[in-house]
Amino acid sequence: MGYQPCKKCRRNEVIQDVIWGRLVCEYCGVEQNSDDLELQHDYGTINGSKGNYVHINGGGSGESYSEFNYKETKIYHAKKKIEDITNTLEITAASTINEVTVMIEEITEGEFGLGNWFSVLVAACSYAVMRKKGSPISMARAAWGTGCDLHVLGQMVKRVIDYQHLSLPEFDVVYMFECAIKSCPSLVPIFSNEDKKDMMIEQGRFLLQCAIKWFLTTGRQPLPVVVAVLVFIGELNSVDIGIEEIAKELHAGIATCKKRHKELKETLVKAARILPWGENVTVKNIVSNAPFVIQYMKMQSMSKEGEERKSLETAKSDLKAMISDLEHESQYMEVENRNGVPTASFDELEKLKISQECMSKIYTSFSHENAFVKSINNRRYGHRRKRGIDIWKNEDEGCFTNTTSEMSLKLSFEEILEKNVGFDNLPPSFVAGELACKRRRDKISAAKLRINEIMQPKKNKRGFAERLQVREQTVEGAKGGKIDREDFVIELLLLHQVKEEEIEKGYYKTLLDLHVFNSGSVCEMFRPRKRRK
Amino acid sequence: MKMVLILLEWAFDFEGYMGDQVLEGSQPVDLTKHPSGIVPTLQNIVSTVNLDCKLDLKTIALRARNAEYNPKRFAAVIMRIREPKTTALIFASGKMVCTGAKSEHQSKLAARKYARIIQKLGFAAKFKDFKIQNIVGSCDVKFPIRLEGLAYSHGAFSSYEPELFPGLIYRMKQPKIVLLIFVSGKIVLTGAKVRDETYTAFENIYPVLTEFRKSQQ
Repeated sequence: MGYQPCKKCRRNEVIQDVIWGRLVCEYCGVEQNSDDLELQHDYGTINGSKGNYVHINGGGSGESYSEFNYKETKIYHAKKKIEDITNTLEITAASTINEVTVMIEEITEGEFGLGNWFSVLVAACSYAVMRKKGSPISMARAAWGTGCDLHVLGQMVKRVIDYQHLSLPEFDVVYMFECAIKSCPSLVPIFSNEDKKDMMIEQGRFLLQCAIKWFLTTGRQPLPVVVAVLVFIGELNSVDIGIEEIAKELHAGIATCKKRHKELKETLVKAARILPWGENVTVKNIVSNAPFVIQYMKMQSMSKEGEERKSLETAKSDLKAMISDLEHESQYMEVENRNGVPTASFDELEKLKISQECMSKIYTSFSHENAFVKSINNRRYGHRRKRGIDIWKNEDEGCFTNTTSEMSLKLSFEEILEKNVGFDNLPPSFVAGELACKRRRDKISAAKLRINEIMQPKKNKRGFAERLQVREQTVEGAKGGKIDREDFVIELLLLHQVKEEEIEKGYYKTLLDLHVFNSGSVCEMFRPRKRRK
Repeated sequence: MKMVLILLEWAFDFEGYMGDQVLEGSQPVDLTKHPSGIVPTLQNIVSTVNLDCKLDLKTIALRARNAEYNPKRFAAVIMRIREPKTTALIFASGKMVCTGAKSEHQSKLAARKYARIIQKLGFAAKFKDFKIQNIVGSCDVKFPIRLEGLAYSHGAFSSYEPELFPGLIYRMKQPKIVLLIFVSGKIVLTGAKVRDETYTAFENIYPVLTEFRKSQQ
């Protein structure tokens, strides 16, 4: 390509610098003034492809930075942005990136775009494509990758779905868990042992699917539940996983993760009630009891529908019989390690009443006598254990890790619901609502008693002591506390003949507006009446 | 203590009225209109009215003590009254939006009160084209709902994204109502122009919800 002669030496030895792309004279080394030169413009990297032909100060030829070139530049930058964002979101497959690009091209009618909105669109399309493929990325991560607000991204995702008429599969929380355990930077050094990692994935999958069955994921953000399960199985396997660190890495709210972790433990405590020593299981000792609970749930999920009830009853009676037989023996069993140092706290053991070694023995006999427990029959349980109590933490002897239930495999939502794990849970929000309703009902009853006492003192033909007792009961609130504002509001609403069912719902403001402070229709009770003579 | 005394005073005052009545309180639900036995409670009514005169918002803001006006933030006067407890947005064009009422009657009454206030401030306000624009109701079906199952089988009408919002958004076509359905069994219905639309929408969705109810222990 011919350039104008050097402005200093006038030799025709002007070349383009291969590194910077500037025009320099090869003979004298003077950099040429680009203002009056045609220059070949490069974008991006040193070896990047050659871009548009830009003619600056071209003497009015009419070709300066045409619309065509602007569009090309815009598309080039847009594609680069797509590449950057997909890289940030760790989408590496060329076909997926291509799919994202095609989707954006369709949505923008080939115009692509520039600016912040375009980054949001790229993230939304990436999210939609990944979820369509069944390997979703979390929306929180996608929002973090583009630096936009989660709800802004959510709106864009919705628009993309509507525009493309996509029907995305449900967010796969189990896949998300597997991804987290495999790729979380803080977990990578911990899980150098592949076997342990696989075992924990299996446990986590089982627990997550139980959480789905127990309404712990319904109407909740999936990531905090994933974090909660991850931390819990970490505790089970003596792997130190910091909840804050993991929550941060997965872009989940720390407080929510902690709440879900607590909820998971509380639900497992409820599930543990079925065990003979279930009454002694609390949130504090659930980690040491969880293997038994999980094992029991796995056995339940493995048993067929017909034999389910039978096996449950058999299991219960067998366990009870065995415990009564072994209770006497248990007091002589020591729970200690090789050095003779007790490995469990005495308080804990006292609570459990029987030693864990004894439990293992109970479990062994139980499993031998029950044919449906197939997977654990191949283990050596005949001898008395000399070592410590770590029966579930020890991989070669772990009692529940080797049992493969279908719940440990990835199941569809319908399949999860069909499985019986021996315990059903109600959604925490529903339980809270029921409790609130019951509390209001009690308050209404108390308020009615108080009002009736005042309105018809003569008709209550109770003795003085009885009336005093009722008075004491009713003057106090429903829970035995002092009367509060809520009690007054309930009394007021009752006096205005508001339905009890309405009051129970707890919409006090609405009811007050409708029945008490309703200037439009004055309640009959408040109408001035003629005094009886 | 003062409130207790007031209540006692009222109670004795009503004794004559109440006569021998004992506080029973409730009337049965009309099952022909509400086969589910549940009546959604109306929580908010939004209505609009045209006062049919140009308004000087600054004057209104300066002369009415229950008004606030910040043109940098929002180009309308925000006015509140206590009874019925509502809020109105009054625009310079003379259009007004009234929100927060708990019944259609209350909403109209409140709108009339606002119009009267504007009249008293010296504007020739009329009361034209009063219309209820939106009715929001809520209720509780008292059983937990499997949102995942509902979203799957009614995918054409519903949107369930727990990453963004805990409830399932159900867009009913007839009547054109949007329902927010929560796992706890609480339902919010919005988008109705008349209260019967809210009731119909709830009666339509109730059998669907029972399909996805979780049996209680």
